[in-house]
Amino acid sequence: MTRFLLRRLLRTIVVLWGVVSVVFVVIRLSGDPIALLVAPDTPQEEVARLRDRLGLNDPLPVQYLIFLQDAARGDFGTSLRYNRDALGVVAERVPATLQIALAAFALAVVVAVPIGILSAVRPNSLVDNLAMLLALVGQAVPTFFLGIVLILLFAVHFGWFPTSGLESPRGLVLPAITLGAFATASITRLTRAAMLEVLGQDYVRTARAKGLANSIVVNRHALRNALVPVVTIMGLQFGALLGGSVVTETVFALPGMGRLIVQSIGNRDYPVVQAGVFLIAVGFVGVNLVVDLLYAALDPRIRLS
Amino acid sequence: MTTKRLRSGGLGPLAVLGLLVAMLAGAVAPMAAQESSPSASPPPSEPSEELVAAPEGKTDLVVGQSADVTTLDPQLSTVSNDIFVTFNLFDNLIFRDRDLSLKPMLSTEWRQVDDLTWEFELREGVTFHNGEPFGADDVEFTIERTYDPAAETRVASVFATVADVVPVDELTVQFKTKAPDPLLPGRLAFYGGQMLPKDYFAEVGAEEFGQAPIGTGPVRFAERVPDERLVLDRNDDYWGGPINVEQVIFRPIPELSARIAALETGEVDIITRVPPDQVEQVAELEDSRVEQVLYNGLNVMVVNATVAPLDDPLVRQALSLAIDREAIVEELFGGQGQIPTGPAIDTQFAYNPDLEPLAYDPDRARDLLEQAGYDGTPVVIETTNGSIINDQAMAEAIAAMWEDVGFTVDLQVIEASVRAEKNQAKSFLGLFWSDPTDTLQDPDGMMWRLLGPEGQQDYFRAEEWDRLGNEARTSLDPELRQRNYYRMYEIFLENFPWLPVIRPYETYGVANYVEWFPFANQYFNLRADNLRLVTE
Repeated sequence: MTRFLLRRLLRTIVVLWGVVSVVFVVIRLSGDPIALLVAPDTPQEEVARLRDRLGLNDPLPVQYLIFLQDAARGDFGTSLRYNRDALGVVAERVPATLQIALAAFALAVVVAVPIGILSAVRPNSLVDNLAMLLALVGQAVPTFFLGIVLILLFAVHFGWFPTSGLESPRGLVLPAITLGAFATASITRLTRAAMLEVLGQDYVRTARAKGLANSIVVNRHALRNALVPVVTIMGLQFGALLGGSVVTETVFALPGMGRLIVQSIGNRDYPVVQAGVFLIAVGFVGVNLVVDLLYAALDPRIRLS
Repeated sequence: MTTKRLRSGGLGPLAVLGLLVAMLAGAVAPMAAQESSPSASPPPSEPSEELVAAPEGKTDLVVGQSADVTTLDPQLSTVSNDIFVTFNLFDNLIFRDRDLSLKPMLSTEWRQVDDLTWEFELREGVTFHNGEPFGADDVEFTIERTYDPAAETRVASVFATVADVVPVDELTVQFKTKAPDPLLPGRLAFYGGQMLPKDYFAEVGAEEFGQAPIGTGPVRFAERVPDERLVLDRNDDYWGGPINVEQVIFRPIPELSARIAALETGEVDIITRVPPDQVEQVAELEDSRVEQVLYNGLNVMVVNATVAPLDDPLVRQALSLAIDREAIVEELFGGQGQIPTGPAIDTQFAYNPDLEPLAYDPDRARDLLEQAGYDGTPVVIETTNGSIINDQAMAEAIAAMWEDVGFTVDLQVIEASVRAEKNQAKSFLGLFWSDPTDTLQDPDGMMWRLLGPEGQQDYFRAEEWDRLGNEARTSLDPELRQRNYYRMYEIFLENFPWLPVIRPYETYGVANYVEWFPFANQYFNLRADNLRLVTE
């Protein structure tokens, strides 16, 4: 177990190094931040002074080494736009992103797993067909469109929820549905498929032949075996929810990380983009580590060694 | 001249609906299109719909903007979302009223002592939000900081004509200018001129000041959550009298439909930046109305007249003649705009009312092209997408119009940040969008600010043009200035350093329990004489 964790930690560091390095190169390829920082009529000597102060005159490899050295200490530099510690600027946005990601994920799990099971237990029934139709819609509807429709229907027409903002917990509902729709649909479909496969296995037939109650067969024998792929996809989906909420955050005007990073790319605010992508990568890798640990708990045949 | 405003004066809701239907049917457009020359229209004195009482317990005003405020330091941004706020946290020495005339603000009187000296008397008893008195040393500090290289401000060029600011006594200050500056009062009324507290600034430093500033304005800073809300409390001690809302909250709601939805549900009370195709939708909202004001500037395509084939004035004339501006105003802006007559707008000093709206004459454009011996060298348009309303759509329409008369057009879409870079490096390949704002209600604050030598859009030079512009900049003789500008308009219309396309309306959505009018010069004025929550 310890060896497993150590190996995973090492791999995590390599992944994070890869991520920050790719971001470092790609964002610098996109252009010069200076033009966006100064007034268009700023004299050239002023521009040169600022460029020097920001370390943009150093050769790229030198900039890269300095960046890695600082990043290793958790210092991603000062935001060019906000003039404050970049990691701090990003960290302020974590709560909003985490709130809607968790809400969307909770919604997805609570809705998707039972419906997936129900569909698998009664394949081709009305419930199954309805569930699969909804899942198809959930996967096909663009987040952007769904968000606007939900706002018009439930915020403007019925007045049940605010149109935007996170000032009350009710403000979480529509963004969570919007963000969680795709994950819900995916998890529903996968749960159904995994359960169908497991329900056709010999040991399930044996369990039934032993005369066990249907609920025990489904919940204890089938579900647990079907959960391994489901948990895998849940982990991936949660990671995607953390990083993929840009559209939802924009539609509902939420102060989240995704929106910040996209704005910062537009502003060429390198430090904020780097700090933001780093945090999202940490979240993604962390969630997947938890998933790996869960495998062992779900299936004793998988050993963490 | 096409002019169409969604404005109903004192008419009832039914009449408004009728008007809207008529507009939808296009019944109003042909009539309005017959107005031959523009006139400086006085600002409306009545809201566009009848006001109603605010909901019980309503004490705040919530404004939905398209983007978050980037900084509260008024010298570090000239972006409209930011100055909408800073023009209310702070006051200027001089106020540009809604009719664009200059009025006393923190300065009660000003006069020219000699050709190079202006003297300003300051208002007595004005205090900053921390209770400290406002005085001449604050003026000195504010102005000198704008051009202090160490401060890295974005308004460094605003007071470039100023040599020195000299406090005479507590409440008198003199400005020494490098050359005669007829426009100094106007400069003080716009960005860069928001008065900062010298002592407080020294105490907390620039960074903290930008996070939580104090000024003398009608609202004071209370709280800010980035990308969520900016809360401003009423300044009860405001020298101009307190406003009747306790709090003003600015909320960034980037998505347009969500912004309109928030206005509809009453979560916000004013929304900014309603694009032309949504104006009717907002006007039809039951409890809200649209308030409009003509943009204090123009949307133009700037021409890099140093590259072929654009270095030939005949080619530039042909480009202008081939643009069907009427179609752009009608089809892309739903009639919400005017066709320019040249590089000036009718709210400026020395506007020539005899000039006709820019002509559309494709046949003449073809003749000119032939005369110029145009060889098919592509004309490059570098358009942004969304930096200016309808920029890409206009560029596509114009490209088609130009191809119709025989141009080869290379239309490229560039990112806003690339545009900023090219602007800095002056490296545009041909034509690009700009929305020059008039900062002084004078050609010097728009045309000459940008097209003059060393200006941001210095791509065309001619000896006479430069001489006239420079002379007008430093002359104290209004007649000479007007004469020079009239001649410059003629030179402009032969050379087209800009291709002016439209002067659009700016549209705001306003709840009917709020009495508020937009200012053309981007004050977003939240003072008691322009903002009232209707209480009964």
